[in-house]
Amino acid sequence: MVTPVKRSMGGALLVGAFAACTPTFTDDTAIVSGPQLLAVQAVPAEAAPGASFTMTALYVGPGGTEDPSSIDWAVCLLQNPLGDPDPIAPACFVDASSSLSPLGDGASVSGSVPSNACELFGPESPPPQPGEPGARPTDPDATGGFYLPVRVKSDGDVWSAALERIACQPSGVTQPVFKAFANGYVANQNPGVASLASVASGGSTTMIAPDAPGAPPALTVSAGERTTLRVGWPSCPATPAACSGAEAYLVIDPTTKQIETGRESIVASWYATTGRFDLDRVGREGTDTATTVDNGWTAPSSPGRVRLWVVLRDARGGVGWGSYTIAVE
Amino acid sequence: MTALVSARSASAQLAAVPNGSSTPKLTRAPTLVHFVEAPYPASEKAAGHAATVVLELAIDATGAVTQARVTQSAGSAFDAAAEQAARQFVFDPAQIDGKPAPIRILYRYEFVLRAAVPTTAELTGQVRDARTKKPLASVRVAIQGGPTVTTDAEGRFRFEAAEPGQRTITLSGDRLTDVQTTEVLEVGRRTTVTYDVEPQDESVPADEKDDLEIVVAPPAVQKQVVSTIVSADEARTVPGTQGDVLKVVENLPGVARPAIGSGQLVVWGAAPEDTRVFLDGVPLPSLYHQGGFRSVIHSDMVESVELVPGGWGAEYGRGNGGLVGVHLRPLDPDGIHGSASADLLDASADVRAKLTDRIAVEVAGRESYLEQLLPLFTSRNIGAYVPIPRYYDAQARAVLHAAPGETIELGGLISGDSVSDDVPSDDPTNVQTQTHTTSFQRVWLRWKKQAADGAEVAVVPSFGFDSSSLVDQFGEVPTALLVDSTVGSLRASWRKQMESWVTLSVGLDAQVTRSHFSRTGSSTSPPRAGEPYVFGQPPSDETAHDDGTTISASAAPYATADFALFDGRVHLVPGLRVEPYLQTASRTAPPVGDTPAVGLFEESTVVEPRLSARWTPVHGLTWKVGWGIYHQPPAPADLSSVFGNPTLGLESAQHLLWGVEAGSPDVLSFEATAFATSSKNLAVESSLPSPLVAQSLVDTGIGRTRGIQVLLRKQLSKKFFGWLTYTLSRSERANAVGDPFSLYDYDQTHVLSAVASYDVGAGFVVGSRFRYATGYPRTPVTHAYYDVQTGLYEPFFGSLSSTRVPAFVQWDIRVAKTFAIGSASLETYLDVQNVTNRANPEEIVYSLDYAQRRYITGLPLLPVAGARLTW
Repeated sequence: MVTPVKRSMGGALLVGAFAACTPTFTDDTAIVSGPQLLAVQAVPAEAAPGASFTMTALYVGPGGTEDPSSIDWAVCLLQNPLGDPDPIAPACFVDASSSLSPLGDGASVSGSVPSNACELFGPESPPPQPGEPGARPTDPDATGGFYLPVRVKSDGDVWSAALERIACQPSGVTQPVFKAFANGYVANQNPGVASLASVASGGSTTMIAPDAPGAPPALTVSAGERTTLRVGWPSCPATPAACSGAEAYLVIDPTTKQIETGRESIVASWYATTGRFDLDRVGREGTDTATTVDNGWTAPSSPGRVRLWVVLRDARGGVGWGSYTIAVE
Repeated sequence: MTALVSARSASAQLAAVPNGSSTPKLTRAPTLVHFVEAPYPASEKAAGHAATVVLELAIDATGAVTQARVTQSAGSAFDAAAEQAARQFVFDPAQIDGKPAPIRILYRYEFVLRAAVPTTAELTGQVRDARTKKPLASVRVAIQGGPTVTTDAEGRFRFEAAEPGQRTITLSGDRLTDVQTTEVLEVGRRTTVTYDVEPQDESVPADEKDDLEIVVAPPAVQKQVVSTIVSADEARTVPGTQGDVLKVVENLPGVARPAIGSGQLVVWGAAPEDTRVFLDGVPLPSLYHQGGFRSVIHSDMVESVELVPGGWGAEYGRGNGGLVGVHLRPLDPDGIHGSASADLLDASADVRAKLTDRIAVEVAGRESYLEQLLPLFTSRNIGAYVPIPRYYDAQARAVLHAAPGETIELGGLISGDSVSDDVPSDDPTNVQTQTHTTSFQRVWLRWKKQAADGAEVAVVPSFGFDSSSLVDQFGEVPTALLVDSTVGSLRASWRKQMESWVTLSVGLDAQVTRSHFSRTGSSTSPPRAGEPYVFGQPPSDETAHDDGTTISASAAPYATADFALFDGRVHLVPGLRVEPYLQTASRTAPPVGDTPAVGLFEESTVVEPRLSARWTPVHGLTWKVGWGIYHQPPAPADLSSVFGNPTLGLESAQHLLWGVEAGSPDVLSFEATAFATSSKNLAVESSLPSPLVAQSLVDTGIGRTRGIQVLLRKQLSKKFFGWLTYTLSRSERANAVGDPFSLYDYDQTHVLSAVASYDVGAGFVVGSRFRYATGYPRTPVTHAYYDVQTGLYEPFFGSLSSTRVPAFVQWDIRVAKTFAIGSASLETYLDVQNVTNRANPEEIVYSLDYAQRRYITGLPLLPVAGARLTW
């Protein structure tokens, strides 16, 4: 698919104001052409310092599954420099770094959140040196979250970064706000794919069952046929509650330092071993209460079996996915 | 440089009419061999009128004009002048059947108002009795190598076209012993002097008479050691400016080519925020509207624009970069005049009127309408995808001639910009909205007087507001930076030529700026200069907020002396500026709960010596050198306790330059200047992984720029003007002493600009501009990693600023035709940018996985048509 490059940002706006030509690229990141780490799910999706967590990889290849034994995991205890827009310090991607705490190899690993994670990566400052002010705490993301970085290396030298959301208490707020937040905040849950369906032009839907051992393909399409796929996730209440859909959550407004209730956005990333998607990513904003989103997929021109994955990501770092097989005739 | 208006005639022969021959076979048309220029009627010239008179000329067989008759009148004054001049024409006679013969022809005599840069200087003044201050009449004033004039009853004299350079002035009279002084007269400038002399008392015996004393007013010119001044008449015809006088600054030596759509002024590799803009002493926050498509001052208000890239004198401060001075033109002596213009982007108008003998006023304004025009050409909502600049500005002023040599001006201006952009997406993390608005207002009062003792005094208080708002939303990540400032300034100066060899200038330059800032978002957005970033990369999702109030105040007394030594061949100009700063911040630490904010008050005093010297060993050759120390306060938002550091101190810089000037501006001049600047205490991001509280920025940054600029220039004369500039420079920054230097974001190794304009006659003026500029440095992306949490790729950067956007090369042309419409003049023009349709890379962009790299390219061939009506 053709991907427009326009991903503008503050300060760059005027460059594009009267630019004549913005190039397009043909990098189709939705098609799995080699061993690829598509997603990592942390359970629990949000853990307090000292708590254990498990990370599981969705590691696939053109044939569907890939041997996950080459995946190397390590917690990185380096703080990201303030001026770096990336989510993880570049120095984490050095094997010899003394700041790496290995988690092991394979598709799934377990570890624990460092007890000082909220000092290293959160709103709490470590004790200051004599005569000096304390260190600047890390700023939360727009959902109020802080994250423990996990460096992932796969297939020899392919780097990835995974994050475990840390449950830290807010700072810089009044005591009543602190208490209300601590009492009302509900830790994030990973989203889950509730359904995947094929939508006919008339609006009728055909459910597509997820992969199961020995099960035949859940959907058969003609070669070159375009199919509308609809992924759904559970509906969640409007007030904070544990839910595997777009959850409501409490967040401290950085401007007013008061509690507000937000709602997660959900983004569905689509991957397949062949064919072509209309869009790589589609989703719903937090203000959009719909629980499904559609995407077009055009089957390849030659018959065969196609593996397809849908990865759901919520705004608080939760991840869930579904794996499917489609027969092309 | 002063733009003068002069008359110029042009002729066009029409069809010849044989004169009474029965076999009228014209074998050769008459050819004009002796042209006599008609004097431009003074009244029409003052009123700005152009005209065309068509005459029927009877030419005898010898080529003499025997009769001239007006067949198309342009008014009695024009008719009479043209008729009188035409009678003196001499032709190579016409030939009929191969023999000289009388003939009648139609001849079009055009009176065209045009700008001309004079080759002479003007010296005016008054001679007074030093004791009584009464004017002295009948004093003979002689100028070296020129005529002698006699003072009138008011003691006044005037040399309208004096030879430029250092000239000896001799005063003599019946009651005066000859006395001499020297004046330095510059091309195109008026030097006004007052000579106070002591005439001999006739009752006093000759042997008891004292020596004469002479008091002279200071020279009107205070030339910076390196500066480029362009008159409005020159600048208006430069291609690519669409008639906007102040846009010519982008083509001057020492100025980097701005990134497309930025409108930034990058002078000698300094940050755009380091360069100061003054409108006749009134500080302005910017010279251009957003995007740089237009300047914020109407061109018809401007007499000239001056760029001082560095090494400026003690009169100015609070800036470490260059200095742009916009000089307003004097208002017309009489009548109502004005202009109206329009092109693709906007429309503007200017009206000037003299209300009474002593009061003149001017109003001007401009408003963009591209947003309203687009729906006429397309039904698409272009604004949803491409930011469309919206801007306006307006100026007004009233000038009271309170007394001879004394004026009071009350002025004001407003300017506003807004650019917004919405990028819809099916991916909620990629939905983007961006809005950037700026505005500022100013009012000022300017009192200028030439005192009885010859001193010049000026006081310019000004007051205004600046506002800037950047509000972005990238997915769920907000970015907001709002700064509202109240600015008050006062400039007061006194200048006097104390002796023939020394001119003293003292003054006070004070400014108070109270700013309120509010910032929300990531520390990385908007990115700071010197930090690696990728165009279009989503900002960090870390979100914080801070707001606060800062005050920066300083009052700098300064003094400058211009010593003219060795008969004026050497000018030594030392200056000193002592500037106490007061700086406050409303919060020294991030807000915590209900804890009251603790503010900060800091005082510091800086001493800024300045020195320049010029040596003219022979006429037409001047060596020059300049040096100075400069300081500027930090940006208000950098004093944030969350995003910056409330204790940031003053940034400082040192400029050193030396060079040579040769030639004559009206013929051909050459200037070469080598420069070296260094700066320190620059605000940079803390290098600590976890900065200390309220120290996200630290003032350890240092910088340096080295370079040379050359200018080959032919100023506007009868038909042609042009210049060729080339700047070679290297601008570098480091986070701290001892850290390695890397190229600064605004470094451009080579900048070449060639501008030419030629009056081809018949109202046509053609111009051309060629530009070459090295691309800005960028930090390359070497590879990427996959963020499984977001499903996006993130870049690994290579060495800081180790690659560049490819060079920019562009050729522009401009064709203008002026029509006389009665007493008005209509100029139409076609300004074609990028005539070769070259795809100039403007920015580096990457594919989503950073595996591919390409360029956003600039404007294609872009014709812009416009018209300007003046009356």
